[in-house]
Amino acid sequence: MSQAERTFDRLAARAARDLPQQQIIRNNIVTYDRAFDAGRQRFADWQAARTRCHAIKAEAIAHLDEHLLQFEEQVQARGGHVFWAETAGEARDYILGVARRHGVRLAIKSKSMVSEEVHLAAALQAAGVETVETDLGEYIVQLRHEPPYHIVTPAMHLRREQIAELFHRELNTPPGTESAEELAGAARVALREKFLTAGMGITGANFLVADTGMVAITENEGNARLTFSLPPVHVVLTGIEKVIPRLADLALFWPVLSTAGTGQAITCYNSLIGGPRRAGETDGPEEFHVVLLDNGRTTALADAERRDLLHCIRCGACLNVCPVFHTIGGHAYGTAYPGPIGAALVPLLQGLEGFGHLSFASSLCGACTEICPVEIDLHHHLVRNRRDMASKRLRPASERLGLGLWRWAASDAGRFERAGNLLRRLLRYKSAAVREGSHLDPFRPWTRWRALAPPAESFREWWRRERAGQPGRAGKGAGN
Amino acid sequence: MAALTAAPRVAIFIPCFVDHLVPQVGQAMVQVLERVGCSVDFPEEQTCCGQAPFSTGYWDDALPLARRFVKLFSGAEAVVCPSGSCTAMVRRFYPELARADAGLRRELAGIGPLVFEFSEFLVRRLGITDVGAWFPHRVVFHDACHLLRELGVSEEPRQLLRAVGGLELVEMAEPGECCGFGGAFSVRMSEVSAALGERKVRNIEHAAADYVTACDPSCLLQIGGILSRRGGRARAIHLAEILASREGAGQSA
Amino acid sequence: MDANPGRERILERIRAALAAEPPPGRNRGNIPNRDAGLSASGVFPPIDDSLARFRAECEANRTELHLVTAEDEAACLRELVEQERLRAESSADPGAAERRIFVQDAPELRRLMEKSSAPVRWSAAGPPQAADFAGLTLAEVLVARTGSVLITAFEGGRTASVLPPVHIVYARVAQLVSGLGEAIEHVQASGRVRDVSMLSLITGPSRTSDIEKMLVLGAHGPRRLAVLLRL
Repeated sequence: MSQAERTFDRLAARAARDLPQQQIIRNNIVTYDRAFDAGRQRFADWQAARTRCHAIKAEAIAHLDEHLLQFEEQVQARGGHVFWAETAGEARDYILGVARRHGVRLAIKSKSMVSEEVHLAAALQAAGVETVETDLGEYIVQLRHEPPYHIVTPAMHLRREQIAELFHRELNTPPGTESAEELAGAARVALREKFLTAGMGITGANFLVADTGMVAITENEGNARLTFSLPPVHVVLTGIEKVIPRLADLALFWPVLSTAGTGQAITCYNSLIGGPRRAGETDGPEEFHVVLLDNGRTTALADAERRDLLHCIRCGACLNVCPVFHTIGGHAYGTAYPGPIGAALVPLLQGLEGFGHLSFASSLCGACTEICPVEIDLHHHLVRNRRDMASKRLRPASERLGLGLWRWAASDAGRFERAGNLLRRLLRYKSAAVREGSHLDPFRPWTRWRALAPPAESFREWWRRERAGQPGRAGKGAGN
Repeated sequence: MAALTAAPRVAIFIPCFVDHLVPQVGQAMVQVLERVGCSVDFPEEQTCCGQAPFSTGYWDDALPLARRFVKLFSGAEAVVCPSGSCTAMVRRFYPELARADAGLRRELAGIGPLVFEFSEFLVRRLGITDVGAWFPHRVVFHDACHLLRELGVSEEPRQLLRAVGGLELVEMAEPGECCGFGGAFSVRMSEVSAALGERKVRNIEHAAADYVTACDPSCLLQIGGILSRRGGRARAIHLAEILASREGAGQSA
Repeated sequence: MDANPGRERILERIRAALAAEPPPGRNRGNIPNRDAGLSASGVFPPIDDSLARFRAECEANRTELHLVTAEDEAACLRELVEQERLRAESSADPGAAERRIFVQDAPELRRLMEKSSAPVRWSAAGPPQAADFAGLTLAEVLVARTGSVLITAFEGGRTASVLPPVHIVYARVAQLVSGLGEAIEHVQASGRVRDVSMLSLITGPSRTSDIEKMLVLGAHGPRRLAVLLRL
């Protein structure tokens, strides 16, 4: 068991007992559910939209090299720079290099899960570049020195009172600053100065448009627009898989992303960046960089069975419907990408050995697969990850033995029946001998919370007893 | 699809949980199938659908069980199972297991359409919603995940329940939210599993239901187990048991 | 000397990866009606009355829509501008002397602002300043389906429509198209996509729901978006 797995088990168990925290999550989710249902109604055919999105992403990924080259060529033609980073370290080093070259003391960021993945902010801070999150939710968790809780709503685990207290402590907001308006207003004021003085703006990318070589950025707050407009340098950090073939495809992806992400028909700002400011433009950065990150994505790409994981548009819908996420929240996962997409993808990007346990954090209910707007086979990927762990012998010997025993018992009806009879006998015996659910109960993982009472006879025994000798009804006799 | 013969002959597939922990579910299903005119076969060589090794990732251990199932049930006019998850295993996951075996895939293509979950069989295959049952209680229906999402069955059990004499069907909050069983998940992540089960139970209690029913014995073991532990009024019961019930028959509704 | 050796390696890996055959049975990128619009392909319902839809969407997303004519457009604009100028004046912010409205330097807007007494910063003279109380721009195209306004860096620059707390758009009803597909087609056909460094589709005033999922209008972008739509 890896350290990450041990930590995960501990945090998940603790979160499972934290009912007030679960209630906060649920309140958030109820709002989302209502908004999503309403948002879906705006489509004549939401299922057709999903299928179409899947097909477009499949086309994008199927020609990923060509699309990336097409994208790069146009960005460069407009005076932008494109850097291909194989690893998180390379991405960090490149961005740090840009910052150093420009003597950047302050960098501002809009929301980017890739920046979480590569731990960019920490690297910049360590190098003396103050790095400030400008998305309100990200800003809040940054002030609290904790990672985002959710890929779309980073501060969903917090009550308003906690945020008020935080702002009072960190921003000196006057006591009584409690309403959502007042708190958002305080953040606006605090961050305005950062927007105006930053030497570098870092954003992610929601889509990379191949045919026009543009970076598409989706948001509600306007912080990304300020981030890519005010500072003299704009850096985009993105995974290579964010490609879509045509600008026209955004007519579908923008509303699908917003509907699945928050239930909105479309978010407030959907922007397209082609490069640094052009001659004659009033404002805008002088320098533009796009950092294309691999960091294991080509490994996922090479696995044809898993390729659709690269369709993900990071909408967060799978997190919103996941019963495990509802119970344990986003921090317990310990990865930049929590929830079903994280459980499916992170083991592929960062190794089954360290992260495969996340694929077991699922009851395989399939709600994620059902909602995914780009039709990723999410929960089935979790089973495939489990399969790969078993075949690579990354599972505990006891489990391998147990399931092997199951197979052996189930290969013969008589054996299977005897095994079942043994189980019932054992249950009856231990019911008499120990208190159900106590530490002495061998079935404690089940009986700690749930009763378990064995019946007097099995179905088979009943069938043989009731149906013995009746023509057309009895099956083959089985030894007892 | 060829019409079933006048007295449809069905083979029943009894999940391991039912066989050893809740045999009354299998008994009830047999009763109802016979009541609606089927003749029922129980091929005694059956064991398990292989869901446990499959979902835990031990596909090499699951594949022989798939082969076994196909061999045992080929030739059946219809195979009926009181578990959405076992049915889903056969129809949706056996083909994935059989990826490298063209022969088995062919056999599965043949047998797949003949394998039904119990409520699906009654309503979609036999066209029956009223099986002459009586069960004068307030009941909520829990949509088991595999039944709902892998098989697309959610109206059929409700149609059957609405036709039961004396039964008041109510909806609870979050009917499609997982009960938390999830196979090995229930013991491997037992706190999370229990938290989900307890949430399901709270929804049942808020609906003031006498009974919670479902088409999946594993969900009912989870939910029923928690209900018993809590000592609440509500009880878990399989749909087949309700449909077999004649409780209060003949009295005015 | 290759400053980016990773580039070739990544491309190599992508090409090698794509050589693997995808498994059977999944959607193979076969997109029905690839070039047809999204209403034509059944994804979105068609829109019968674009103007009515635009009005309804603006109301829903809190864009203030003023339908104006040649006779009243200048007065309507003056009133809006004066409203915001007074509001800015009465706020506690320092920098009152520099409080101007930032306006895209276009003949139509010069004409509209002729009789306004508010101090103006024209885009030809430089970008908006932090204390500017509003930004006034034209638009490329308006979208009925979502009640949106598409602007580009050509419309006064990148920050004109996002830095000041109020954004006012002057547009004509002939600029209204039905859906996003048409809007995108429009800016591609006109050459705008080729010529500018930034485009932005704006739908309502800025907002956030990051605090307990409570909607707050006015986050980092404008708190008020007003569209003067000349019929």
